[in-house]
Amino acid sequence: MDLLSQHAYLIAVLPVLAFGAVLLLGQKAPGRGAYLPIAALAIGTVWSIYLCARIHSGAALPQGRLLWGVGSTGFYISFLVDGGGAAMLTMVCSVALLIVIYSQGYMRGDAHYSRFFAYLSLFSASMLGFVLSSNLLLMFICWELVGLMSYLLIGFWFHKPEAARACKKAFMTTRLGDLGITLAVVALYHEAGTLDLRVIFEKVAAGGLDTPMAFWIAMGLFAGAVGKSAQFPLHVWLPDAMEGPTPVSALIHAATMVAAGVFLVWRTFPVFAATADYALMPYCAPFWVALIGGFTALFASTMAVVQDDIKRVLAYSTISQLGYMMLALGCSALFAGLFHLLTHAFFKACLFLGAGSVIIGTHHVQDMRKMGGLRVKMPVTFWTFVIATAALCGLGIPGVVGLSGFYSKDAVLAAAKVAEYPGEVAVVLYGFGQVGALLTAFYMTRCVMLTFMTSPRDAHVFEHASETPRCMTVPLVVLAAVALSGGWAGHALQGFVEDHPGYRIESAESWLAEHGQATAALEEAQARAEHQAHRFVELVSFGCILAGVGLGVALYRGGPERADALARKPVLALLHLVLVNKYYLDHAWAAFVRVVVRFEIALAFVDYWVVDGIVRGVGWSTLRVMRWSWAFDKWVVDKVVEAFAWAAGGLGEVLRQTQTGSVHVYMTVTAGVAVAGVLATILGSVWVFAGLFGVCVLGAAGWHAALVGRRTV
Amino acid sequence: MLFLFPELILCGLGLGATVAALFCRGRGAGRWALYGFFVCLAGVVTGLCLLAYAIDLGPEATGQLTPEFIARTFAVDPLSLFFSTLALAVCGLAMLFSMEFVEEVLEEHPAEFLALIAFASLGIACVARSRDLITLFFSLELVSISGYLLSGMLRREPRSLEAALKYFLIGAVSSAIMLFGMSLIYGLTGATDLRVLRDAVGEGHLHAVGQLAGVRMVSSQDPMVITGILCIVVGLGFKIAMVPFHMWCPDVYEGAPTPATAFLSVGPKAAGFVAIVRLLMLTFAPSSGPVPWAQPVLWLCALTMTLGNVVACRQTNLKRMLAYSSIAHSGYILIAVVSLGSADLALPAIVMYLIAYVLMNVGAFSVVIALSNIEGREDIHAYNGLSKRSPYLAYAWVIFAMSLAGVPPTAGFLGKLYVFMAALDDRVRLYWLAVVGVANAVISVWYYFRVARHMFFVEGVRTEPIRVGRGAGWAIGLSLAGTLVLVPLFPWLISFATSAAQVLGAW
Amino acid sequence: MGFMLGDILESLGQPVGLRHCLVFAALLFAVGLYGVLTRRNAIGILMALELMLNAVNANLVAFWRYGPGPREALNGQVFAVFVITMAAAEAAVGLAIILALFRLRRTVNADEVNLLKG
Repeated sequence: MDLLSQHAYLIAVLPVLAFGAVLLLGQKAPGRGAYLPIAALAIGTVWSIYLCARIHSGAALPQGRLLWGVGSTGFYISFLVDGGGAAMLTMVCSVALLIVIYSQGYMRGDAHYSRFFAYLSLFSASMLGFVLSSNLLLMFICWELVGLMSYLLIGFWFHKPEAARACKKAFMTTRLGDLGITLAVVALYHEAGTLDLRVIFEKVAAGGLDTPMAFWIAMGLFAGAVGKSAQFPLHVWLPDAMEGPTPVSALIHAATMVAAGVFLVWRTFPVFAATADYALMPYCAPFWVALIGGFTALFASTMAVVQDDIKRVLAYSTISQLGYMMLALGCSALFAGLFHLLTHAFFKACLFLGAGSVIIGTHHVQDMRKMGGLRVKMPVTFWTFVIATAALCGLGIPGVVGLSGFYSKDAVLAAAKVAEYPGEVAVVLYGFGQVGALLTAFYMTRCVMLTFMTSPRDAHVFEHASETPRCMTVPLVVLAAVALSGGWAGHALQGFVEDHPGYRIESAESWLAEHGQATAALEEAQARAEHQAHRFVELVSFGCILAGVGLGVALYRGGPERADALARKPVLALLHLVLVNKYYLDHAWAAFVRVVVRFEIALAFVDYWVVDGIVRGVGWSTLRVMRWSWAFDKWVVDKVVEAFAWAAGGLGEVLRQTQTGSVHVYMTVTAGVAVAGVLATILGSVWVFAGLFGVCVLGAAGWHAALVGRRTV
Repeated sequence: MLFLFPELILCGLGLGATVAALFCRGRGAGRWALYGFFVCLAGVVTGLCLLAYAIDLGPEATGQLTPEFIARTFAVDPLSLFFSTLALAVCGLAMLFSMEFVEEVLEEHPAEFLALIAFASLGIACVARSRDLITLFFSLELVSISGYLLSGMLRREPRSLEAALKYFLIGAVSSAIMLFGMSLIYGLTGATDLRVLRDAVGEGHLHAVGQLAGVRMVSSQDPMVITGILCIVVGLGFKIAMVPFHMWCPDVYEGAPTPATAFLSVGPKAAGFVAIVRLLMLTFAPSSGPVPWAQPVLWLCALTMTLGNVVACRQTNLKRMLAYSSIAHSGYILIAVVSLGSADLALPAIVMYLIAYVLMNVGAFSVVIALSNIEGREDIHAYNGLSKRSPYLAYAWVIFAMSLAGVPPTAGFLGKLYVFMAALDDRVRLYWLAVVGVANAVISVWYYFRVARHMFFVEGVRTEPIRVGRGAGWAIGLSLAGTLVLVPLFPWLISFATSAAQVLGAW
Repeated sequence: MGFMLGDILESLGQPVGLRHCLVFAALLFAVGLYGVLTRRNAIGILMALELMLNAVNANLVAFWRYGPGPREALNGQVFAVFVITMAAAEAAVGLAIILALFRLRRTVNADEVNLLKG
C-alpha cells in the first residue's frame, strides 16, 4: 500500500493541527486564522480525491491500525476507507473547504474571527475522524466531538440569549439520543467482545448476535442518529440552531453534524439488517428507520411551508431531506441513502451559503417578508440559489436528464416503492416521500418567490442590498455547479461505492442474498421491478414538482398577501396555527423538561440527605485513616526516600572524585579496563578482571598522587 | 546515487562553508548559518520523501538503483537513509543554535565552525551507511576529528583547549585500540565486508561458508575474536561515553564552546550507537552460541546509567550536569543493545530513543546556549528567576526536563518505554536491568527539576528580560515541536522504526 | 588455547611468518600504549600514539600477506594506507591543539592541563 493511503488518517489529523495552531497563534495566524484550516482542508480534499482514484483503480482499501505500544500489548486505533467512506471524505473536505473560504467574507470584522476558524477546523476534523474510523469507540469519541463543536459554534455569538439557548438546546437534545448510542456501544461490546467494526460485522454475519439484542442495539444506535440527524421527535434543536453564524448552519446541515447520524446508520447497517425479519414487524429495526425517516420527511416539510425566516425554511427542509435518507436506509437501499446524503450536502450548502449571502447583502435581514426582488441586486446569489433549489426539488426531465437531486431523490422514492415491506406499509412509506416531494417543491418555490422575485416589500432593505464579495460568491458558484451536475455521476458513484465495499456492505449483501435475492431469475425480476418503479416514480415526481412549483408561483406571484388571506380561512387558519406552532412539539418538550426538572429537585433532596450523608461518613472515616497513613508516610516512607537520596548524593560525591582532571588517569582507566576486560573474558574469570581493574585503579591513583606530590614539592 | 542525497548535501554544505570561510567574518557567518539551516531543512524534506520512496520500492529495488561500487560499501536500506536524514536534521539544528555563537562570540574563523559541523554530520551519515569495516572506521574518525577541532574552537580560552586536548588524546588512544581490534578481526576472517563478517563469525551461519571464497570461518569463542571484538567495544564505548570510557565526557562538555558541546552530545553519540547497531548487534552477534560482548556490556550498561545519574546530582554547572545526563542516556540505550534476544523490539527501541534523545538534548542545550550567549556562564545560579526573565526558556526547559526524565506525554517517555519493553520481553527477561533503569530515571528527575526549581522559585540577582536569539529560539521551538508533537503524536514513526529495523535485521 | 606463550616462543624459531609479524605488532602496540600512559609531554604521547597505529598497520599488512583472505583483494593494504592517512590527519590536529595550548599556557605537559575536573 502506498504511503498516502497508509496514512489516510492524516486527512483528519491535519485540521486538528490547524485548529491547534490557530488557537495558539490567534490573530497572528496566517490570514488571521483562516489560511491554515483552508490549507488543511484543501490538502484533505486533494488527498481524498486521490484515495478515490486509488480505490477506483482497484488498489487495496486504505486501512491501518495506529499503534501505541510494543508488540501485542498496546492501544490501537484503526481506520478504514472504503468506497463510500472515500466519497464521504471527499464531500466533507470539499464542502467544508468552500464553507471556510466563504466564512472569510461572512465573519469579516467579527471580534473572535480567528477562533471561529479554529472551531470550524476542529468541527470538520471530528467529522472526518468519524468517517475514517472503523472502531466504535473512536467513532463515538468523534461523534461527541462533533456534538461539542456544534455546541460551541451554534453558540458562537453567545452574548445573544437566543444563541445561548439554542446551543444548549441542540446539545441537550442530541445528548438524549446519545444516551441510546452509549447503551448500544456498551451492549455491543458486551455481546461481541470488541468494538472493532470489522470483527463485529463478521460476528453479525455469522449469526453471532441474537435478534432481540441486535434489535435493541440497532435501536440504540438509531436513537443517536435520530438526535444527530434531527429526526422526529428530536428534530426540535435544528431550527433553533439557526441562531449560529450561517456558515456554521451550512456546515451542520450539509457536511458534518446531521450527516453523521445518517452515516452512522449506513456504517452500522449490518446490525440493523440482522434484525430484518418481516414476520415480526415491531422487531425489525430497518422498519423503524424507514418509518421515522418517511414520517419526518413529510412532517418537516409541512412546517417548512409556513416559515418566514429564510434560514428556518432551509432548516425544516434539511430535516425533511434527512428523513428521505433514513427512509432509503430503512428500505435497505444503502446506496440511495448515501447518494442523497452526498448530493444534498452540495445543494444544501449552496442554499445556506446563498441565504447567508442574502443576509449579508441585506445587512442582517432574515425575514423573507421584508425581502423581494433581490434578483436584481444579487444576480449571482439568485442564480446559484435557484439552481440549488431546483436540485433540492429534484427537478429534471424524466428519463432524460436532471439536476443532482432528481437522481438521488428518485432513487430514494423508488427504493421506498419496491421495499419488501407488506403492501400497505410500503405504500404508506412511499406516500410519505411523494407528498413530501410535492411540499418541498412548493415551499422552496415560495422561498425563492418571496426572496428574489416579486416586488420589493421593504424599500429600505432593497435600497441597501448589494452583491457580496468574491470570496463568498465563488464558493456559491462552485457548489451550484456541483448541485447542477452531481447527479450525472450517480451510476459511476454507485459502481464505485458498491464495488469497493468495506466490511459494511459485504455483510449487508450476505444478508440480502439470504433474503431471497440469490437466484438469477429473482434478481432479474427484482431489477425489472426496480426499473419500472423508477420510471413510475420519475413520472409521478415530475408531476408533483410541477404541481408544487405551479402552486407556489400562483400563490406567491404578487407577494405573500394572497397566501395570508388564504390562511385566514376557517379550517386553514387552524392548520396554520398548528404549523406555526410546530405541532406544539416544542411545547411538549418544554413540559417534559419541566417535569424532569421537578423530578430532579426531588432527587436533589435525596442526594443531599441520604447520599451526601453517606459520603460525609466515608469522608470522616477516610480522614481518620489518612492521619495514620500520613504519619506512616512521614516517618517511614519519607525517611526511606531521603535515605536513598542521601545515598545517591553521597555515592555521587564519591564517584565525582574519580574525575580528577588528569588526562593520564583517564587514559589509564580506559586502556586498563580494555586490557583487563580482554584478559578476563579470554580466561573466563570475573576475578581476573577485578584484580586487573584494581591494579589499574590503584596505579592511576598512585600516579596521580605522585604527580600532585611532585608539584607541591 | 539518488539515495545518497543527504550525504551529498552535507558534503556540499561542508565544502561550501569552507569556501565561505575565506571571506566571511562576524555577522556574515550568522547569515551563512541560516542558509545552512535552510539547505538542511530542504534536504531533510527531500530525504524524507526519498525515504518514503525507498520504503515503497523495497530493499531489492533500492539496491538495484545504486551503482554497485557504492552499494558494496554504502548501504541504501531505509534505516540508513533515515539515519542520514537524521544526521542532516542534527546538522540543521546545530547551524541554528550556533548562529549567535558564530556571529558574536567566535571572532576568528566563524565559518570553519559551520564547516566542521557539516563534516562531522557527514561522518555520522556515513557511519549509518557503512557496510564495510574500513568505511565504518573512517566515517567514525571523520566525526571524531571534526569533534576535536570543534571543542577547541575558542583558541584563547584555556578551558576550550584543555577540552580539545583531552578529547583528542583519549579519542586517539581509544581509536587506536579499536583499530587494533579491527585488524585482528580482518586478519582472522580475511574480509572487511560486514555482511561477510556476520556470516564468518559464529557457528550460526555455517550454511553460508560455501559462498564465501577465501573467508575463513571462525568461532566467536576464539580468543583472538574476543580480543578483537572487545577492542572494538572499547572504541565504540568511548564514542558513546560508556563507563568506564566516559571520563573525557564531562571535561570536554564543560570546556568546549556550548554550541559545540550541544552538537557533540548528540552527533558523535548517535554515530556511536548506529555503529554499535551495525557492528555489535548485526555483525558480531551469532544467532547461536554466546555473544562475546554481551556480558561485559550488560554490566557496563548498569554502571553507566547509575554513575551518570548519581554524579549528575552533584553538579552545579549545567553543561557538566548535562554531560553526566548524556552518559546516563547512553546507559538507557545500552539496555536495548544488550536486550539482543528481542532484537525486533530492541532495534526500534534504539531508533526511537535516538530520535527522542536528539530532539530533547538539542532542546535542553539550546536553552543553555540561549542563556550563555547573554550571561556568558552556565552555572545553576545563572538560572535563578529565569521564569520571569524569559518564560519561553523556562517553560521550554520544563518540557525538555520532562522528556529527559521520561515523563509522558513526551518523546523521551516513549523512548524509555520502548527500551524497558525490550528488556522485559519474555525472550530476554532482564528484569533487574529494567529495575535499575527505572530507579535511575527516578533519580534523574531530581536533578533535571532542580534546575527548574532555580528557574521558578529562586529569586535572581538580575531581573531584566532576556531577548532570546533568533537561532537558539528557533532551535528550541523546533525541538519542542518534535518532543511534544512529532514523536508522541505520530505512531507511524514507531511503526516505521519497527519495519525499518526489521528490514535491517534481514540485512 | 592456541595462544599460549610456549607455542608462540616455539614458533618463533621457524622461518619468518605470520606469527613473527603478529608478535612484533603486539609488542609495538604495547610499547606504544605504555608510552601513551607514561609520557607527560603531550608531544611524546602523540609519538607513542603513532607507534600504536603503526602496530596496527603491521598487523594489517601481515594479515594481508599471510592471512586467510584472497591476495587479490587489497583490503588489508587499503586499510593500512587509510590508517596512515588518518594518522597524519590526527597528528596534524593534535599538533595544532598542542601548539595553541603552548601559546596560551607555555606548557606542553598534559598533566598540568587540569582546570576541568569533578
